[in-house]
Amino acid sequence: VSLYALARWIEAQPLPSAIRDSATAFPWIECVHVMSATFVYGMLIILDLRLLGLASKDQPVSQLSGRMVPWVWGAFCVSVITGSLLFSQTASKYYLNTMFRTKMLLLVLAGLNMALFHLITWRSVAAWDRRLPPPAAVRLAGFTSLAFWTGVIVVGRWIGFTLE
Amino acid sequence: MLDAYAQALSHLIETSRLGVFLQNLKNEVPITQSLHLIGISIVVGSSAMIDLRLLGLMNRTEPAGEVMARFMPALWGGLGFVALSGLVMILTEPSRALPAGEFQRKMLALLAAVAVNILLRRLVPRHDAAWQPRAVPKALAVASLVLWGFIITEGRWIAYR
Repeated sequence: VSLYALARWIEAQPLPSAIRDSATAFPWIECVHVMSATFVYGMLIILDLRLLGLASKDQPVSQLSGRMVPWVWGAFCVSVITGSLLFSQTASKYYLNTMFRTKMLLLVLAGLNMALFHLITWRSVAAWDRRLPPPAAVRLAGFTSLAFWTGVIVVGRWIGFTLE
Repeated sequence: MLDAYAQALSHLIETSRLGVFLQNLKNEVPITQSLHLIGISIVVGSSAMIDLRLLGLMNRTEPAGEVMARFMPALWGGLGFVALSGLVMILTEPSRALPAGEFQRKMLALLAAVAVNILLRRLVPRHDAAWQPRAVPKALAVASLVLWGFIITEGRWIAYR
């Protein structure tokens, strides 16, 4: 089974079809998607600037991230659910769209960056929790995170201009 | 009356040299909208940090005044950035925004959100570590979050008129 065939199958399902046939469902879901995405990205800007040692300097990294991460994950889940619904209603079109593919790639890269940071760099957090400037590996993680997530937002906005 | 004014103003901008110049810039619309979205994220992130602290949902151990002092500059800076990119969007496609009810409601809500946050800045003491928000600051924090959500919603709906 090809991914394209899978996309065609998805968009033929009842819920995606209902979203596609409704005049108002897509914009409303999109509003929630934009709200949750700007929340996630806005929070990550704050966290990444701290990792870069540029803002919230008096806050230990572990304390700041500990407070924000549950909210970021919650909003990210909302974003994924609403995003999946938007994708599902014309899944095959999105599947063929270069901007959409680029956004998915950037999301994977952002996720890998976060996973590496947590599995490797985070183990020594006690040593650099308050250190300014933070070690190069921490600053690099902050920079790449900021770059990938900015890419996700920009490329995401661009999808709407390239579909059809 | 307001409609006629909005349409006349739109026509004036559309046919002006600046308007024509912006309309002819390649990819100007998606670039400006992307910048607008980045600015909105800065506003939402910093405002949420303040509002969630006031509501006792995040960061309860840090004095509210300090959280506010930390994020208010980002809130206003981000808002300036949003206003600037928004202005460019209006100058490029004035008849898309100015006569739209969604746009007009969005601007009213924006004024309300600015007023709510100025009021919050005045209500929360800067250097009182023991101060905890009561009903009024909490209600304003809810209003702030709801207003940003409303502004985003109206903004997105402008595209579907």
